[in-house]
Amino acid sequence: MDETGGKGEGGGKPVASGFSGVLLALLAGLFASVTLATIVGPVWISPLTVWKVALHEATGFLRPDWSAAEGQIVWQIRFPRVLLAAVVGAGLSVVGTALQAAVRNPLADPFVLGGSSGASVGAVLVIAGGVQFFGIYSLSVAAFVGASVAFVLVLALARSPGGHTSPLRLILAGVAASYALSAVTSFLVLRADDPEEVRSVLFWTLGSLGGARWEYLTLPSAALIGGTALLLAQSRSLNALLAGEETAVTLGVETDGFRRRLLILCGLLTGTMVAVSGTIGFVGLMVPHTVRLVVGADHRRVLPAAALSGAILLVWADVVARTAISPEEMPVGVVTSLAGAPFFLWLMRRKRGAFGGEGG
Amino acid sequence: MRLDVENIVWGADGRKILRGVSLEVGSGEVVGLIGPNGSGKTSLLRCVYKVLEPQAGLISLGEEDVLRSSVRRMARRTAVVPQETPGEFDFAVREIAAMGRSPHKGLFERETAEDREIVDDSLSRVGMLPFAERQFSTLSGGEKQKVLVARALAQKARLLVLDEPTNHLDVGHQLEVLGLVRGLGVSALAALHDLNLAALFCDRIYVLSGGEVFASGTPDEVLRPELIETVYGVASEVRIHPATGKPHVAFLPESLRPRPGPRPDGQEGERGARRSGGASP
Repeated sequence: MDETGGKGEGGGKPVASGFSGVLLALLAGLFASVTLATIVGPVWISPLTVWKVALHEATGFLRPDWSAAEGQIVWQIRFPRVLLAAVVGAGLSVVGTALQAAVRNPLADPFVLGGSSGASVGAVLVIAGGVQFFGIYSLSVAAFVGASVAFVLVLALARSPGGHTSPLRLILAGVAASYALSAVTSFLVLRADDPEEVRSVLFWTLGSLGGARWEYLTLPSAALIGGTALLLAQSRSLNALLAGEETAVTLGVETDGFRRRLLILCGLLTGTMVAVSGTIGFVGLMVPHTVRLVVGADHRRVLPAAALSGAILLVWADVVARTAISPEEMPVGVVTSLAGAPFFLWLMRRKRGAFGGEGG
Repeated sequence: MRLDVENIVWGADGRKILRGVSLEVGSGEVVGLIGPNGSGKTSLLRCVYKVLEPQAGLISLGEEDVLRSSVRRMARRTAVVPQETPGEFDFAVREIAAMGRSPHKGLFERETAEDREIVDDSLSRVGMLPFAERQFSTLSGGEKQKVLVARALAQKARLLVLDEPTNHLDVGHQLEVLGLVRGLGVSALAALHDLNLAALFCDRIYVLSGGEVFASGTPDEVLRPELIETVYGVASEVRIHPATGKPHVAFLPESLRPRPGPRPDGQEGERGARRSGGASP
C-alpha cells in the first residue's frame, strides 16, 4: 500500500484515500463476519433470517416468518456472543495499540501491566474460593476488581522517587506483579479440591465468550466507544510519544501526566473486557502490529483499523472455538494464540524492513 | 526570538551538572555550545526545552518565562532537533514532519490544507519532499536528520534548539544540515562537538566546562589554543583559514606536541594540574 501511495504528488491525499478504502473494506468485513458467525452452529440459519430476526427484535418491524426456535437461537444465543466477541476483540486491540505507545515497547499488550494475572486472582477466588458477592456477576466483578487492583499496584510500584514513571520501570513492575499474582493463582488452584473447579479456572484464564448475554454487552460497548473516542482525540500525542520520550515533550506533550491518564484509561478498558471474557491472549499484541504494517504508525489510522480488525479476528476465533471440537468448546484464547502466532511470524518475515530488520 | 538563560543550576543524584550557567541568544543569532563530554551541554539544552527542570535560575524566551509556561505553549515557540530518533515503530517521513504541527492543534482538530502546505514546504526546504512517503527507518542518517529538521520547521517555532545535529553524519550532510539552520534566519542554539563546524556556522560560541561557562564570544575570540588546551586537554594550532575567513583548528596528537623545552616550568605544571582537575568533575 505504501508503494502505490508513494507515487502521488498531491500532499497526503493518496494515503488518505487508500485508508478510507481500508476502513470500508474492514467495515464490510465485520458486517459479513458477524452475519456468517451467526449462521454457523449446530443449527444453520440463513443469512436473511439472521438480519430479519435482528431487525424484528431491535425495531419491532417485520412479521416473523421464521420458527420461534430460530428466533431464540439468533437473538438470545448467537447474536450476543458474536457481538461480544466483536466488542472484546476491538477493545483488546485498541488497548494494545495505546499501551504499545504508552510504554513505547512493541511487546506490550493489554496484559503487560499485570491486568490478566490480577483478574485471574479475582476469578479464582470466585470459582475455587467460593467468594460470592454479586450473584451471577461475581466472576465479572471479581475479575474487574482484580485487574484494576493489579494495575494500580503496578502504577504505584513503577513510580520513581522523583515522581516519574518511565516506560521501562512500568514494564518491569508489570512483569514482577504478574509473576507474584500468578503464583497466588497457582497456589489457590492447587488448593482447590474439586477437579471441575480447576478446569473452570483454566478455561477462564484462557478466555471464553461462552457466557455471553445481552446484559454483558452494555458496559464493554460503552467502554469501547468512549475509550476509543478519547484515544482518537489524543492520537497526535500518542504519535509523539511513540516517536520518543523527549520528542514528545518538545512537541508539547506533558508526558508524565499524559502517560498516567493513558494507563488508567487502558486499565479500565482492560478490566471491563476481561470481566466478560476472561484473559484472551495475543489479540491485543498482534492486531496493532499487523495493522501498522498495513496503514502505518499514525494513530489516527491505527486505532480505527485495529478496532475493526480485532473485532473481525475475535469473531472468527470464537466461531472456531465453539465449532472445531463441538459439542465441546475450546477456550477462545487457545484459538487466537494457535492461529495468531504463525500468522504473525509469517507477516514479520515477509516485511523485512519492519521491526528493525533493516536500516536502524 | 531572544533567549535569555540566567544562572541555571541543575543536578541529579547529588551531583551538580550545571553550576549557574548564563547565556543569551539574540534574535536571529546562531549560537554554538561547545565543551567536552559531561560538561553539561545536553543538560543545559534539556532545561531550555523543558525536559529538565532547573533547581535555580531563570530562562526567558522573548517576554515569556519558559520555566513557568506549559510544555505545550513552549512547544509552539521552541522546536528541537534531538539526538534520539524514533525507534521500533515506523512512521512515514511525512508523518514525522507532520508531528511538528501537533502543538498547534486541538484535540479533535483535523489537519487543514494549510498544515499540509506547511509540512510539504518544510520537507522541500530540506530537500526531502521526494522522500515523503518513504518509511523513516529506511533513510540514511543524514536523511533522517534532515527530516527531523523539517519537523522542527513545521513547528514554526521562533527558537531552534539542536543537540549534536551533525552526529553520525558524513561531511557533506554535516555542512548541509548546519547550512540549512544558518539559512533559516531564526534564533538557534546548537550543541556541537566539531569545533571547526562551530567556527563556520555560529555567530557566537559558549564554551562549557564542568557545568560552567568557561568562555564566550565570536569564534575567533573563543577558539584559541590556550583555551582548547585547558578545556579539552589537547594541543592544537589555530589559523584563520584563507578560504572561509574563520578560525580553523588543527589538533595535535601527543607525538606532534611542539616545544617540550621552551615553555616556562610554571605553565607546564599548571597545565598538568588543570587536566587532572578536569578528569574528576
